[in-house]
Amino acid sequence: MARPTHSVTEIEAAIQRAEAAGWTVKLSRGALWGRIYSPQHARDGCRVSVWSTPRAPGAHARDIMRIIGRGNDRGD
Amino acid sequence: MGLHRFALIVSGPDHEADDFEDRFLRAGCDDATISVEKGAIVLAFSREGRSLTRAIFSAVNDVQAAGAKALRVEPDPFVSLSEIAGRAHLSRAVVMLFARGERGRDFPPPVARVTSNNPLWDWVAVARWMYRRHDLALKDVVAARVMRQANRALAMPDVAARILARRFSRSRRIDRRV
Repeated sequence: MARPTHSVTEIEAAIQRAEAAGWTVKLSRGALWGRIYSPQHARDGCRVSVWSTPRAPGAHARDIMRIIGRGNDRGD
Repeated sequence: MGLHRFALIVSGPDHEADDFEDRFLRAGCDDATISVEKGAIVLAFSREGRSLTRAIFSAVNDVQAAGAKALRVEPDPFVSLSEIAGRAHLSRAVVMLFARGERGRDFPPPVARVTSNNPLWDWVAVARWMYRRHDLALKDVVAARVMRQANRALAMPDVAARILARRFSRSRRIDRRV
């Protein structure tokens, strides 16, 4: 199922990384581009809100990457 | 001005609501990445500010304007040995030697969950100890103290309110008028 790409390259890359790790995308409209959900849907799961035009796009992309990483290697 | 990175753990708004993110956006939190982790609402800020303290409390102020309550600031002042290793860019094995007293002298004892299998250390005390050994920069010690102070202030609503009133009295006056 094709979804519209995010206009910021780094953020789109972070979203693709999430999808590859089994995360799902729920699109929104306006300032909120969408919400992405980790594969764990229980309370243990994780959701990240992706802005359409964040004040610092690079930092936003890095934050998304970091949270995806945290969600995947739980249990240290 | 510098860019300061920290996260606020907040409570209040229903994160399932459609306007959940919008209320933070309208309050000026578009420099934060909002997530819900283990059921907790987290705002990871990359905020401009003259100091870390100012950046944190301007974020706390914005979060309040969004109708939420800032509970804690992270990176947390309480740390496990693995977190100490991560923050100091040292191996876990080396930090274990410090903690056991097999390398270096007078590593600080843990301060929380001491009777459990997963004790926690005060990052300020550990950072000071590592600074003396040249394992950490002075700015890390300063940041550690700011994080501890900010968390203490957030735990005491009267103190947090006084700090906000002093630093953001103008915006608060405008808020009241609206």
